[in-house]
Amino acid sequence: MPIRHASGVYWRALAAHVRSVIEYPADLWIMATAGAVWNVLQFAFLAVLFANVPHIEGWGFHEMLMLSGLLSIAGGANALCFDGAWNTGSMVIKGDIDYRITRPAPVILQVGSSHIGLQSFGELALGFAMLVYGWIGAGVGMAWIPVGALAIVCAALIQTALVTAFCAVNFWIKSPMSIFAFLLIQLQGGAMKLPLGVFPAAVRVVALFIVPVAFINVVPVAVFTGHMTAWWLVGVPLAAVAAVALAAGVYRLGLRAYDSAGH
Amino acid sequence: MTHALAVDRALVVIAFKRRLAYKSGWIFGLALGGGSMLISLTMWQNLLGDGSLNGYDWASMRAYTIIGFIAATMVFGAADYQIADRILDGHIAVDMTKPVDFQRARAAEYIGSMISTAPTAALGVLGAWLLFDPPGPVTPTAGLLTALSFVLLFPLAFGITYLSVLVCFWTKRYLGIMWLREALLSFFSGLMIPLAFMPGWLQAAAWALPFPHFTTTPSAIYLGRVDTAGALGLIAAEAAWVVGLWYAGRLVFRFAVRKVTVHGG
Amino acid sequence: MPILEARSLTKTFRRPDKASGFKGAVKHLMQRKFKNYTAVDGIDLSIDAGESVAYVGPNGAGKSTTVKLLTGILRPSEGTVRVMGRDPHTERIANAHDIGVLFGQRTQLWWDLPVEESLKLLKHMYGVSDADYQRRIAKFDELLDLNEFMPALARTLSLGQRMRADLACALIHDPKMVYLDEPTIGLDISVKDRLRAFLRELVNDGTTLLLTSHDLADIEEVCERIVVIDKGAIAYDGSIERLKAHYITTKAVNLYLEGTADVPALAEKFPDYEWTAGEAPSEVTVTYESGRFTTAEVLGSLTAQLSPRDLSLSEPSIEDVIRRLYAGELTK
Repeated sequence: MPIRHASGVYWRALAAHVRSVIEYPADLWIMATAGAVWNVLQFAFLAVLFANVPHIEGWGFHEMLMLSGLLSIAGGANALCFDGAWNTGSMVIKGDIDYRITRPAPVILQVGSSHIGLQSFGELALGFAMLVYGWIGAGVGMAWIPVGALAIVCAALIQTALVTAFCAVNFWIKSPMSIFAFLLIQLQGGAMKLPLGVFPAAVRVVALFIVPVAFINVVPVAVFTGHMTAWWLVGVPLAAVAAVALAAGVYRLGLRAYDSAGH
Repeated sequence: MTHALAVDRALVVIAFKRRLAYKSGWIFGLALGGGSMLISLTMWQNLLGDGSLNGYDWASMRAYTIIGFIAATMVFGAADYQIADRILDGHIAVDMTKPVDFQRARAAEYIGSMISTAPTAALGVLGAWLLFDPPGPVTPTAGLLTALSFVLLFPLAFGITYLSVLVCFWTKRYLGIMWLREALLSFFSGLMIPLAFMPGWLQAAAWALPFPHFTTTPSAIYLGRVDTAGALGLIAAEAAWVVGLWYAGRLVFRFAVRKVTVHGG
Repeated sequence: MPILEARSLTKTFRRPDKASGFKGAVKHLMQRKFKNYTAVDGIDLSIDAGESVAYVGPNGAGKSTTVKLLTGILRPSEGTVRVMGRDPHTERIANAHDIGVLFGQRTQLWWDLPVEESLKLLKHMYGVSDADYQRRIAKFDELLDLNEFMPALARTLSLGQRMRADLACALIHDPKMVYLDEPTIGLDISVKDRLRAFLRELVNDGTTLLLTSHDLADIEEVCERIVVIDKGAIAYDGSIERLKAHYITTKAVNLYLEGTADVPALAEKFPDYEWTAGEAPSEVTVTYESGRFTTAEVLGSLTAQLSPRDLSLSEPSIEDVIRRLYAGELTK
């Protein structure tokens, strides 16, 4: 019952935001365009690169497109469903967590659903387009589709949970900017659209086992395209569970350390 | 020194100190810029090996990436958010009552915040130099002109940023605008992939925009991909953008400022 | 049994101890020094169901920190809080159903949503039934004119509208214990009056209320009991009536004389009273101890011997008492 209540609260807040977005569409268009353009340029980057080179570490154009596509879907899902987490830092500084503590619902869900990243519409649309185009071009069979769907859900969960956990660092460092989360998505955005094989072992270990960003896109795509054995797929849901637990735990500790603003 | 210049200087110094005091910002900039630089170098080393692509070999690509890192640190590390926030939360109404030119004051602050990225850029370059030993500038003149093209990046970055920030008069959030600008800048500057790799029509499109001056111009001068005359031509084009964007900013602001009352609520 | 009970409640904050500017920041980075700052220092407070308590004190006295401790937002450094027998921090969600909170300085409305959406979200969050929701909204509308701005986006509201909407948010689930931290801050007189009338109604309906305010009219009109806090400790706790009876020991009459008032001469003539010059040369204020003389006695002797053009009685104000409490002139 508490879980049903909490998720009800969460979805209602999200739905209310979607309704208000539809009433004030200027932001929606700019943001969705930003999301789409970012992805078009990712596509352009790969297209330009592969017009000059045949492959990187044995990965071809279509396989690389799948990497970028799945990464965009994960980022887009995070922005659509849990963009409010980015506000954790400014809420901590302004004392805006206060009211949320006095309400009967998990604070993390209240904060996460407090905003919708409108760029997500562009990101998701273009992300799916890249993934599907890459999927077909790389000749990945239809049989993988159910696994692909699961991988998408897990990718969204891992991405969202990791970003939220990194944003929650602002419970301690008192800055309006979620610099750790920003650092995470920027470096992830740079590194995880390349095959793991180009990186030194230390980077691979970090991306797989410390901050499991590789399970968002690299591992599933590598399995679909035969660069990794199917056993690695087991790690995808495991990473999702671990990341969600991490986010919930960091947030809980953060709330204990929260000392509001002013006196 | 005239009064207006004194105000400019004061704003530059305040913005510089404010950013510098924000110590996590340095480490962050270094981690972000350094990390991106390493990722980029890893990819190019893997792709180039002992060969070369479109006139770039591993040695020149090292210098190219480091130059891109400096430009990116300068422009991505500046305090664009402060201008946007003032528009979004209606504080701009307060700024309008101050006896200073809004655009000029924001330019001073922005450039001050860009200067504060110097330690990050210096440390990053030092580290990259020690790790990767990139080639020096092709001639001393080229080195000097490279430096000049970097100096012009200060007003150019402001011009692009300011114009894009003014879009906040029509939106509720700045983030999307920032991403759009940074995405276009990353791609069309040559930061993601050198313009020389692109098909002709895309190169033409890039050169019709102010973005190539953020990596392609200084690196082309530094690596000797253009001669002195060509370098001066690039720098002249860069300067023209600076002037053009400054007046474009004035024009858009005049139009946008009618919206001020809306955000003030 | 009290609805709220705090025992030796203490909150200590750790603040970085650094000099300002760049040098200070660098130095702080090298040797991290911190100062402890005690905002709330061993407070004992017990509130019975149905009481309306004003919690007052000068700026920085620890009022808001206390409210945050009582509502479970902050964890006490020492001491305990029990609201209806629960620890509001560790049993946060159960406690949340029973309390309503308003921080006048901030809004809990969803900034970019219409007011009505915020109220509906809270309705679902607190599990309020449709019938109860409709009834309460109707009542809030009657007293606070809510419908006037229900469809407006929160960020477009005026301060007075925002506060009324926030009050509705704080009370939508009919909480038993309500905390209002400066609910009238920045409001104009007419909105204040409406808000106070609304709060009196709330108290009459049996809601327990803890209210902090710098506006003593809020306190006198809404509350029966007053707790004065200064430097994190309680300086007075008792009924407002008792505070007045106990501390307001003098009364005053303003006299408007024909011609200029000669204050030293008057003081010599009536040595039992205290004389001070008024604003105009012909005005003079007579202060007397209310225990020794009745007002009739004083007025009788003064009018008989001075035949003033006019006179007025100054009401003893609680404001004076509290000002003196803050200044440390009075003790428990």
